[in-house]
Amino acid sequence: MDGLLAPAALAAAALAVPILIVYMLKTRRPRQVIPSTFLWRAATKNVSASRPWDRIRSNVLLFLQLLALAALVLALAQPYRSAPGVAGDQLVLVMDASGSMAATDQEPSRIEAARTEAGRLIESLEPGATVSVVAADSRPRVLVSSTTNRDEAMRAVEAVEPSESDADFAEAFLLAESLETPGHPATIALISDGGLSDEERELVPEGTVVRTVGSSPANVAISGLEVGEGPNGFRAFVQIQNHDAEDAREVELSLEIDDAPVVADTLEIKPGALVERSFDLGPQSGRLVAAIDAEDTLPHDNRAYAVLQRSAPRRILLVGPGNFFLEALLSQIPGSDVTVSKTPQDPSRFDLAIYDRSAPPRSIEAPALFIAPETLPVGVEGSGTVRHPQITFVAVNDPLLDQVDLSELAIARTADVRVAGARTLIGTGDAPLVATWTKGSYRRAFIGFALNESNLPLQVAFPIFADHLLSWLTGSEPPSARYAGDAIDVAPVPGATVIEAAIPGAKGERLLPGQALEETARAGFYELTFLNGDDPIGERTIALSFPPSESDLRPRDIEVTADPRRPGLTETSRRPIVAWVLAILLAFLMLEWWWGHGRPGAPALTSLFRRERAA
Amino acid sequence: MLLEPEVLSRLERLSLATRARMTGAYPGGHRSKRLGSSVDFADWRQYVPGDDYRRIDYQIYARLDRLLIRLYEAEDEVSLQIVLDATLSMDFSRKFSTGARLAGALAYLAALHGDRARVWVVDANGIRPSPWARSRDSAIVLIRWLEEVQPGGSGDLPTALKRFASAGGLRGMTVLISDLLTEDWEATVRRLTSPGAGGAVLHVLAREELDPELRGDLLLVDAEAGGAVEVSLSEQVLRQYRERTKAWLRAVAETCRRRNLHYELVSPDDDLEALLLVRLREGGLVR
Repeated sequence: MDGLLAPAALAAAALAVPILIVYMLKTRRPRQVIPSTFLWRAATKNVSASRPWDRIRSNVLLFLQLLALAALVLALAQPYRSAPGVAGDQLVLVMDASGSMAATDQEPSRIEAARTEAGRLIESLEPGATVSVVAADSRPRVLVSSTTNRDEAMRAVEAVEPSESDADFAEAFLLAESLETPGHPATIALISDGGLSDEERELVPEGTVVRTVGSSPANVAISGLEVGEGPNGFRAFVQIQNHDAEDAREVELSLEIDDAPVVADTLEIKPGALVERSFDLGPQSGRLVAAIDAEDTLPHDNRAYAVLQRSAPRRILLVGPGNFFLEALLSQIPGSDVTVSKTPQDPSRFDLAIYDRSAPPRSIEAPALFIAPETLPVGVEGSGTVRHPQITFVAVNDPLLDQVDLSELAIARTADVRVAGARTLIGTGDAPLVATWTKGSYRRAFIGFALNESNLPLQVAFPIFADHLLSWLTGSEPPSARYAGDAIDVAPVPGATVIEAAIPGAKGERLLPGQALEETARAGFYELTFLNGDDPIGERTIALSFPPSESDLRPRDIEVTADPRRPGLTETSRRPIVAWVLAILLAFLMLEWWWGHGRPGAPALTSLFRRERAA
Repeated sequence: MLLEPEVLSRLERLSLATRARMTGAYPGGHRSKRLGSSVDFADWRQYVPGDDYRRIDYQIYARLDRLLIRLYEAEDEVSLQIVLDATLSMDFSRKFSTGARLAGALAYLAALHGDRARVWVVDANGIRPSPWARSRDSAIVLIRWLEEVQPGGSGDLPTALKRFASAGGLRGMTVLISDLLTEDWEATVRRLTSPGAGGAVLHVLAREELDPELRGDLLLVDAEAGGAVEVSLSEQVLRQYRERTKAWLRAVAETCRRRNLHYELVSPDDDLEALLLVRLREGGLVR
C-alpha cells in the first residue's frame, strides 16, 4: 500500500471510542441484594460498584471488532498501490512475437513475461479505456481492436504465440498507428526483447512506451546451412555460433538426409565464437536436417533445414540477329543447352525463349525474355522510344536485383511501353526498363532497351542480374524464401491450375498460380503439390530455417524519441486495493460472528456489541 | 415469643453432652478435669497429713499396711457459651431467627440441668454477652434478651471471637451459630477452639443460598459488605455455583472435624425440635 485516496476517512477510526466505551461502561443490570457475595466472588471477578466503568479486560470479541473497524476505516480511506499505469484512454499493445520470444532465459519464457507485462498495463487502465493488441511477427496482425472489455484484451494477449520467424516491426508500427483515433494519440506500448533492426528502431513511433523482457544472451545456434552442388554430389556448409560470451560449449552436430544420419561431429565452440564446417554428402537428393544437441534457452535454432535437389539441364532458345554478350553469358551457365537462331522456332520445346531485337510469336508456350523486341509481345503496349532515359525507380528489395549495382547504368534509348500486371524492376518515369510478369503458367520478362544500346553488358552487375533473371524465368532460381517468415514466391509449373501447400505444424493452404505462400511462420519443410484439376503434375519442397538474427538473444534497450502529445505511462497511477481490504473486513466480521455465535460453547446471547460474560 | 412454652417443655428432657472433661467454676452434672466428690472412683494416692481421714481406704490399709486415700471424679457444671452471628448477612430467610431460637433453646436446656449458659451476639458493634442463665427463670430472661436483638451491620467474626476468647469465653463449651459467609471463615473456626474445649458450629444457610433461583444478568449486591458482583446466570453458571458451594461446605465441615468441633448444617426450614431432639442428639451435642 502506497497511500490513501481519502485520508480524511481515517477520522472514522474515532468509532473505536464508542466501541471501547460500550465495553467499559457497566451494563445496566437489575440489582439483587443477597446476604453475601462471598460465594459469588469465587465465580466471577469482583467489580466495584463505585465505578461507572469497567477496566477493559482481554476480550476476543473486542479485539475482532477493533480489527474489523480498522479494516472498515482503511476501506473508507481507499488505500492504493502506486504502479506505472497508462495515462491515456487508448492503449495499443505491440507484442513482439518473433522467434527469440520463445527463449526461456526468463521464467517461464520471454513471451510469458511479455504477457504478464501486458496484463499489468491493461489492469492499470482507467475504466472505459480501450485496448488494441498487435502481434508483431513476420505478418503483423491486429488481434483485438479498441475493446473496452479487459477480458477480451487479455484473451488476445494470451493468444500471442512466438513464431519461428523474425518480426516485421515496420508493419507492426504502421498497424499500431492506424489504430489510433485521428487527432487523439493513443498510448503505444511495445513489449519486446529488443530484437529490432536499426531501421526498425528508427520507425518506432515517437512517445512509444517500451517494456523489454529477456535476461540472458546465452544461446548456441545453427546460424547457417548452405548446400551446393558439385561434380561429386552435394556439399553442406554449416555455421554454428555460440552467443554465450562467457562459457565455451561443446555440441554434437548431426546431419540427416531423409531421417538417415549422414554426419555426426563434436564441436567445441569458444565463447562468442562462430564455427564453420563443410561436409560432403554424396549424390543423394532429399531433405537435409542439421541439428545440434545444445541445451540452451532457445531450442528452435538448434535445427536448420535444406533441400538437396539436382538442377535439370536448361534448354534455351535465343532468337535474334546475334548478341555477343548474351551468347557469351548463356554459354557460361552450367547445364545449359543454348540454341541460337535468327528465325523463329517452336518455343514449346525449350525451357526458355529469348527474343533479342526480334519479333516474338503471338503465342509462346514457354517462359520468355523479350529484349527490345521488334514487335511488342502480348501484354505489352505502347509506342515510341525514350532517349537517354534516367533511371527513376529500382526495386532494391526484389531478389532479382540482389547484389546488382545499377548505379553506373547508362542507356541510349528504350521503348516507351506499359506492361499490364507487371512488376517493374527498373523504371524511367512511367515506362519500365525491366519488368517481369506471369502469363498463365509461364513467366515473362521484358527489357525495353537493346543491350548494345546500354553499358549494362559492361557492368559487373550484368552476369549477376542475368543469372537471377534467367533462373527466375526457368523456375530454377534459389528459393525466394530461406527463413521462416519469408513469403514463398512459388515458381509456376506449366499446366498447374492450383497448388496445395503442406505447412509444418499447421493445416495446408491452396494457392493459385502466381500467388505467394504467406503462412510461413514455422521453420521446416513446406511441400508444394502442383495440381491440374485434381491431378498432381509436380511437386516441390521448400526448406525454411530459423532466422539467425533471432538467435541473438541479447536483451537490448530501445531508445524512443519523446512525444509530448502521446500519453505514456504515469508513475503515479494509483490502483485502489479496496476490494482486498473489504475482503479482510468480511473475514473479520465472519470470525467475530463465529466466535460470538457459531463456535461450540459460544455465549448464547452475544451480539456484535455485547460483551462476553462467561462464568 | 422466640420459643413457645410447649417447645421449651419438650426440651426439658434434653441436657448438654460434653465430649471432653471440662472444668467448671461450680459443681455440676458434668465430668470435670478435677477430682472431686462424686460417687465415681477415680484413683488412689498417698495419704498426707491434713487429708480427710474418712477417705482413707481401710481395706487397702488392712491388706498392704499403707495409708492410701480414695479419689473420686469431680462433677462440674458446664459453662455453655453461644456465639450468635447477628450481622446483616443473617437477616435473610429467617436465618437469624433460626439461629436465635437455637441459641435460646440450647441455653435453656443447659440452664435447666444445672449448667450455666450465655449468648454472645456479634454485630456491627462488635461482640456483647447476654446475662448468664443458671436456672429456668434466668434462661427465660436470656430468651427475652435474645428477642430484643436485631441483626444489622457488618461484623468481623474473627476479631469478635478474639475478644470473646480474651474474655474467657472459650473455657466452657462454645457453640457458634453463623452462616460463615465471609472470606475469614477459616480463621473464625480456628479461633473457636482452645485446648480441651468442646464446641460446635451450627452453620445456618438458607435454601436460596445453596440453590439460587436467580436467572439472567444481575448485579448482586452484598447486603453486609456493600460490594457488588455482575453475573450472567445461565444453567451452566448456576451448576458451577452449586458445585463450588458444596465444596465449600465440605471444607467447613472438614475444618470443624479436625478441630474436634461438632458441625451441623442448619436450614431455616428445619424443624427446631427435630433438629434438637434428633440431629443434635445423634451428633452428641445434647443427650
